Amino acid sequence: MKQTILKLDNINKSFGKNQVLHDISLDVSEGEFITFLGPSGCGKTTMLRIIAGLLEPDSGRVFLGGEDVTSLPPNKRNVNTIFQNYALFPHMNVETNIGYGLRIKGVKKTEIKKRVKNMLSLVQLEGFEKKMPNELSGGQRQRVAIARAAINNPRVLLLDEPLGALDLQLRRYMQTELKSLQTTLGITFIYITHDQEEAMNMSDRIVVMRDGRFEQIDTPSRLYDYPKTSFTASFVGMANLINAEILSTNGDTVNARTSAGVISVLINGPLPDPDQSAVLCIRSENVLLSKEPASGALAADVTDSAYANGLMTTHLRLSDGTVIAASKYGLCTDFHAGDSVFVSFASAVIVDRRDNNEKTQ
Amino acid sequence: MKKRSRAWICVLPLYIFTIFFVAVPLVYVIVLSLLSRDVTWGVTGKFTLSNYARIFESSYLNVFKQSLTVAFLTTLITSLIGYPFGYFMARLPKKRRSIVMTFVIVPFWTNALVRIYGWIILLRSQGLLNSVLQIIGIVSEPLKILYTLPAVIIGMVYSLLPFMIFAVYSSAEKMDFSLVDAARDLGAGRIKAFWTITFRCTLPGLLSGFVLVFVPSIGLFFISDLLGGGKIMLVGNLIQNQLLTSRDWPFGAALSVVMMIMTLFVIWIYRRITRVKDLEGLL
Repeated sequence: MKQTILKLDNINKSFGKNQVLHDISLDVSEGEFITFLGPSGCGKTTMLRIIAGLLEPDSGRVFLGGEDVTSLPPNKRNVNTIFQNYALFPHMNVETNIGYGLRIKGVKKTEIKKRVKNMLSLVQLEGFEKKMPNELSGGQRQRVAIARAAINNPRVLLLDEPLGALDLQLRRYMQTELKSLQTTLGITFIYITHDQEEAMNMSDRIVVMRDGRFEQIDTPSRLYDYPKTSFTASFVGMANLINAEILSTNGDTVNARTSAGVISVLINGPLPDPDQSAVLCIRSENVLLSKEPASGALAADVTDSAYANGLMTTHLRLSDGTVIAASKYGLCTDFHAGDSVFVSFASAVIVDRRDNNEKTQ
Repeated sequence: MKKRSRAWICVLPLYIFTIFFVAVPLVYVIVLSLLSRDVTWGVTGKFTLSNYARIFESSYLNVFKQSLTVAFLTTLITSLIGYPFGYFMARLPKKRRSIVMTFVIVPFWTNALVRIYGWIILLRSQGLLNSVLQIIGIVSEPLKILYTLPAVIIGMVYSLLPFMIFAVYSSAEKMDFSLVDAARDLGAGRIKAFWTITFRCTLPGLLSGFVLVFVPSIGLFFISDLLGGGKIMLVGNLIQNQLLTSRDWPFGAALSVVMMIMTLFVIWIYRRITRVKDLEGLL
């Protein structure tokens, strides 16, 4: 078991009447890549600023390496941040920007020069020492910001949506870069994003946040396969959320009544009690289409279909008007808009209903 | 070709304006400064450098010395007041900021001369300042402030402070304050973060404030006339005297040229330091 490097204990924070964080508690272990994922305004940046020391919580404690740092100012914490806009000092060149933290600490000039050089080669910016920030591209600025933070050997590196301003191509590339950099440095990364793809690609664990609360903390694959709430289910990947009443269970399979008819589906994870209403989360790849009727299948009309990234996504309207999505790898031309089809479900997960802020596919 | 000629016509008024109101007077003053004085006609066509040589007489050098002292002190005091003022004004929430700004600008709507007369009323022996000081009991005899150097400096600071405030404000307003967070995050304490980041980022504003205050404070003559009571002679007063009272046009012109060179020198230094062509905060 790895050591806990950062511990958040019942953090609460309000701005005026608006409570932004509610009883946040979390343990982060050494060398972990942990991502806070949530829509804008969910409190993730506030939490990052509390960890950095730029904000003080109303109540609760922050522990860093076992030491209570709650009331320490940011300059006394061995934590560094990569800001959303990079916040490079415009009047300093790349070299002096990166060496800033070491200069403040009074490290010798020759030593600074050596470490800046090492850092520049690590982020592949050799020869850029004398460039000013406004002469750099977005991706290069990003690397300078990383180098400037990482050169101080922080115990935890905080990243506030660092890829937000980059275009898609570069973002994908930087994701792999960041992940490999994290492995090289062995520093704990706390990463903030609203982009689920970014979170899924890089993280060891993902913390899904909603309205200042933790919705679920899990590995990316478990988060996708076993979402606990409808919010998580729809925020991470495509999910069809169907209200149903459980009629009977038979092993892992349940029979359930939906407003579009009775279905029979295999449940992953904990089974629901019979005679209860539940929300079924069915990933679009678990929605099966057929032209032939079958028991436990629902009649539906194809509304449209789209083919992107090797994935064929078909949208269907059930008899009660619910729209659901089905997806399948490979180009499939069997179903066209207007076709009548029969829909069955391979597997589902029972999730808790979370109503506000919800987007359903 | 057609397009080009039309564009030329558009900027023509600008050239005409510049030639008649900047270039011609400038050349006129420079030429005048190289001619000799004549009792009947004002000037004669005889070339001479004696007007410039006269400036080095100790009485005139003293005027320059006093002018520079006033300008330095005015610049120093306006930056000590104006820097924090402009900086905090930029950090105010939008609504309160515009209220404060209005208070800085409103005096401009009144004639400068009238406002300086106001200071006479405040500063004179039986004026408001002395009455208050006497009532509180800080002084027993009224302070002699009016018609002294401090009065002139008070007037200069009062008149030129808004330029400093707006120069600092305009660069503080543009500053990204997440830079301060970043500096703090990288280990700088509050004071260190201020000097290495905030001060450096607002320095162009402060320097342009120096120029905007220093340059006019050499030339503003009516303030020293009114608040200095004619006892404080600045370069501006000297020029005014030579041109209007002594009617020594060539010497007045030579003084003007020297003052202009001093001004250009200050701007040259500013450009060397900041590598910026425009002055910050020139509204």
